[in-house]
Amino acid sequence: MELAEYSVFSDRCFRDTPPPCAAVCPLAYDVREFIRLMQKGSVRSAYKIIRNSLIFPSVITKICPGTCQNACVRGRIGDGSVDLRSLEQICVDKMAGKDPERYNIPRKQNRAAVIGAGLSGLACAYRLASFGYPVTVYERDSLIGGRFEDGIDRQWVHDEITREFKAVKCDFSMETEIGSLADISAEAVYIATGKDGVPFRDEASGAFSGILLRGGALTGADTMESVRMGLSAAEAINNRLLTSREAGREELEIAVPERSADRRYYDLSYDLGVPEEIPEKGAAEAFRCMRCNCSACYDVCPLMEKHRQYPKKITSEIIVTLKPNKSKRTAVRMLMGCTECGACREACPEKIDMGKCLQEARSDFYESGAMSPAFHDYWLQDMAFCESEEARILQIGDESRPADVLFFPGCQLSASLPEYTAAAYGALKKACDNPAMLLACCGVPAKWAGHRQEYEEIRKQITADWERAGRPTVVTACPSCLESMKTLHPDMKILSYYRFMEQHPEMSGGKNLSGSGKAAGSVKVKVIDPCSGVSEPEMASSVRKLLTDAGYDIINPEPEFACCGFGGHIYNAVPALHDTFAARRTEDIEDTDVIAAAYCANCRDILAYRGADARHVIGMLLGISEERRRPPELSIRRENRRIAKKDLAGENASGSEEAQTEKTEKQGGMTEIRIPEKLIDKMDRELILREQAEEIIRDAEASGNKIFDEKDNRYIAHRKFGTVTIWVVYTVENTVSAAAELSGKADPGSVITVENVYCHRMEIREGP
Amino acid sequence: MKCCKCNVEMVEKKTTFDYLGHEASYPVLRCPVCGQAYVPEELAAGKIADVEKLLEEK
Repeated sequence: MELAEYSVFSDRCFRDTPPPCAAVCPLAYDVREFIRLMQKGSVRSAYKIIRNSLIFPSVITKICPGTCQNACVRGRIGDGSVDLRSLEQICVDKMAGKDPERYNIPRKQNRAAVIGAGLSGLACAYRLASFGYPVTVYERDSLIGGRFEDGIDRQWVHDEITREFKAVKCDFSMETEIGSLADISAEAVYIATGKDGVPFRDEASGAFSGILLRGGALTGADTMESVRMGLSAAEAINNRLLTSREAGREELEIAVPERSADRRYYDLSYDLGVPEEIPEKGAAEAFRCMRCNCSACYDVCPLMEKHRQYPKKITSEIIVTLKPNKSKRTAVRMLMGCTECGACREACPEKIDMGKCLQEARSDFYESGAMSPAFHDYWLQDMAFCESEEARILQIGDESRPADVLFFPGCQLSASLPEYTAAAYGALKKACDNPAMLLACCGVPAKWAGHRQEYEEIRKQITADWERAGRPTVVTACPSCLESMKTLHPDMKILSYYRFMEQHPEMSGGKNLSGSGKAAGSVKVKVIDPCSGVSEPEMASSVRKLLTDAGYDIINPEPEFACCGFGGHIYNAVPALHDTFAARRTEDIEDTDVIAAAYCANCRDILAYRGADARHVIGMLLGISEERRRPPELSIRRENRRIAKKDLAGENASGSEEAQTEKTEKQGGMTEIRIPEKLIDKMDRELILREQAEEIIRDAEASGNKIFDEKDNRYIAHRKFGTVTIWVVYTVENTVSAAAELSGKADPGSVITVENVYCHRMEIREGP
Repeated sequence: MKCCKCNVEMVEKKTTFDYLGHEASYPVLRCPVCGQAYVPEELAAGKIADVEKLLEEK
C-alpha cells in the first residue's frame, strides 16, 4: 500500500475535532483543556487559554450571547447545558484589576493601521501589535470599544480594553476622522468602521497601495463574529506581510465560515455522572462538562490504551514507521500488537477498521524486510506442521461421488482437544450423506504474520481440496477459520458447526449433557464469544440455542465478542499486551463455578490456562467435556494433530493419552529426560517445545558439545532453532559406568533432569 | 565452567551477537579451543533481551 493511503483509514475519525460548543462559537478555544484546568482549579492557566481567543475576556464574557449553551451535548440530553460563561467569569474575576503580562516581542518593520476602535478593530490591532507590528488605531470618538445596544457602560469597556493594551505597543489616534486612506501611512489597513460606517471604497480609498481588509459590523457581522473577523484580519495581514509581495494595492476578503455542530457528538454515549465531592479548588460547574470527545475505539482496545493513541495518530505513526531506512520505528509494537479482533470497528460510529489498517501495515512492514522474523516464527512453523504430511489430510467418505459436507475443524481444536474432532465429525456424519473432513490450517497465521504470499498459497490448496471433494458445503468448528475462509473463499458455502448443528437436531440428543450431575437448568454457563465471531452473529445465537436445549443456564444471553489475546499472534512481540487481553476476558470468571463455554479452541485454552472452568462448546454439546481440563503443553499439541490425522485415516484411536504413550514408546530404551511441570509452563510461555529441549540434550550427549558447570554439577547446551537460540541446563544421574565416566556421556538408562530452559533471539558468533 | 568437548576451562571473551543486520558485543565465557560460548539466563533475559527490543524497533 502507498504510504499516503494509510491516512485515508482515519479520515472519518472525529476524535479531537471541536466539540459542539466550540464548533458554533466564533471565538472558540480548547474547551476540553480549559475545563480540565478548571476542574483542577488552575484558574490562571485556564485564563490564559480563554484570553488568547476571547482577546478581551472581561468584556467578551459580558456581551457573549452564549451560543455554546444551545449546542451543549448535556443540554441536548436534557440535563441542563454547561454554563461555560460562568466558568469564564471565574477566570475573569480572578484576574480582575490585574495588568496583563507583557512579553518582549521583536518589532517588525511594516506598519499597520486600523480604522475604527470597535471590538473588531481593537481585536485586529491587539493581535497585530502582539505579532510585533507598529499599529495605529484611528477612532473618531473619544472612547474605544464601540457601542452596545444593551446598555453596557462604555467607560467601563474603554477602561478594561485600555488595560489589556498595556501588554502591547499600540498607538491610538482618538477623535480622528479619516477622510481618505491617502491620509494613512501603513502597509496594511483594516477597516472596521462599524454598522453603516465608511467602507473607504473608490475615491475614498485614495492612492493607498497596501493590503486592505474590511470586516466587523461594517460587513454585516454580529458582535462575536466581528471580533473573530478582526483576529482573522490580523492573521491574514501577518501571513501576507511575511511572504514576499509585489508593491501595489491588494484587497483581501475575510472568510466567514458556516458554524455548526458536528452532529456525531450527539450520538455518542456519555457518562453524565458528576463527582459527589468536588475537589477543593475545582469549579463545580466544570465537573458537569463531559469534555465531549469520541473515544469509542480507545475504550474497547487495550492496544490503543497502552499506546495512548487514536486512529489519526496511529496512521501518522504507521506512515513514519514504514518509511524506508527509518532509524527509529516507533509504531512497531503497535503494528505487532493488533489482534484484529474488530472491536474498534464495531465500536466506531464511523466503522473505521483500524484492524485492517494495522494488518496492511504489518504486511507492508514484513515485505520491507525490517520486521523481526522472531515475532511470528513459532506460529509459522506451527502452521507449516499443520500443512505437512504429518498432520494434513483430506478424507472423503465415498471418493467415487461428491461429498455433501466438508468438515473443517481447524488446527487448534485437534491440537487442544483431539478427541473432540473425531466426536464432532461422528455427530456430523449423522446429518450427511457423504461427509468429508479436511485437517488443515486455514492460513490465518500467515495473514497475521503479514505473509500475503503464503496466505494465498494456502487459499489455493484449500480450494483444490474443496474442488476434489466435489465442492461441498464447508462446516467449520473454528470461528477464526470461518471468518478467514469466508473472506478468502466467496464461492464456497461455509457454515459454522453450531449453525449446522442447530439446523440438524439429529446430531445431538437435545438432553442435558453437562456431565456435572446437576439438574437441568442449574448449571450456569457464560458463553465466551470469540472476536472472530463478530462478523457471524448467527453463530453466537446458534451456540446459545444449542446450549439452552442441552439444559445449560446461560447467564449472558447477548453476545459479547472480545479477543482472548490469541488473535493476530501478538504474543511474541508484545507478551504483556497479550496478557492484558487475556485478563480482560477472564476477569469475571476466574475461580468461579460458572462454566466458560468457549466455541473457539484458543479462547478455551487461554481461559483454562488462567484458571477458569473453560470448556469447549462441542464437548458440552456432545457430552464429553471435562471439568477444568488443562490445555496441553505445546509439544503435545503437535502430537495431538498427528493423532487426529491417524485417527481419521483409521490408523489408531485418538486422544492425548495415546499421544503421550506413543511419545514414551518412541523414547524407549534411551536415556529418560525429565522436565518438571513448572518448567514446562515456562517453556510454553517462551514457546519452546519439549522436543527441542530433548533434541539439544541428545545432540549434546552424542557429540559432547556441552558445557560442564562444576560448581552446580550440571550441564549446559544450546542450539539455534529458526530465529531463536535455546539453552538447556540439566543434570545427569546414574552415570556410574566407567565408560560413561571416561566419555563424559550419559549412560543409556540414566536419568536426565532438565533444570532450566531459556532462549534469546540474537545469534552468537561462535567458532574458534 | 568447562567445555566438555575440548576438556578445557572456559574464559571470558568479548563476543559478537548478530540480530536484524545489527551487531552487539558482550563478554561471555568461551572455550579457548573450539569457541563454544555460554550465555547465562541473566544475560539472555537481561541485556540481550533489552537490545533485541531496541533493534526490533530500528
